[in-house]
Amino acid sequence: MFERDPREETELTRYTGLKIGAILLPMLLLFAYFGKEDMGLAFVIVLGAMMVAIKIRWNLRKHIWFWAIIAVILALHVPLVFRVRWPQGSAPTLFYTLPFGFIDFLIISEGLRLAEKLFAKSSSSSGEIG
Amino acid sequence: MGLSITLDALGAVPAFGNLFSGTVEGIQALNASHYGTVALANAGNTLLNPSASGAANTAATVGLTVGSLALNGSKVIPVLGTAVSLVSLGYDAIKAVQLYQQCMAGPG
Repeated sequence: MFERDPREETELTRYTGLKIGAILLPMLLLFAYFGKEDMGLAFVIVLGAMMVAIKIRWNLRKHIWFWAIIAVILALHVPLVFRVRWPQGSAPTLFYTLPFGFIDFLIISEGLRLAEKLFAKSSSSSGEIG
Repeated sequence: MGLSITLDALGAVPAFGNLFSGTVEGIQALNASHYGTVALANAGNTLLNPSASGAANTAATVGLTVGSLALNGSKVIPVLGTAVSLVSLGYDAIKAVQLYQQCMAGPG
């Protein structure tokens, strides 16, 4: 039902990460302007993980449920963005932003995978009835 | 601060990320070993500065190494790694500017 186009998968190469980072950087600067750089960092990492998750499941973009799930996942992240406090020690920032980003991506991706499975099943069962 | 910015800058270079996203199995193994190294570095950092967040980071990167092996060298890891590195670079730059401004303002 929701097979992926192999060409879409190969698009996720080379400069995709750099482009996403370039989109997110001005947002981080905006947060920093208002003195909320810690909140901004959490927000842009969540947004980056979300963008990568959307990109790899871009074949589902025409389904309304897909965007509804994205909106729900984004809403669930709001308390996290407000509560997160980054360590101010001597450890390099990447040591905690990278695991945070990857784990968040895995959670978002798994949520989308489960939704895809659920909606594929419901659409195929409704197809059998009709 | 300098080490942090250097790591961010290196991570933001797509060539490094793409090095880990090849289709050859040997290169895929490099991906896992890269994050394995980060996991070990995190573990060392936790031992030197014991804290709950450090332990959580260590657990997360160990999980990431396992995840990397499970994903079999997925392209997602370098792409997200580059994006997060670029954002971290921006964050470190902001912090460096703030630190500089504090130093220039003096103790009073």
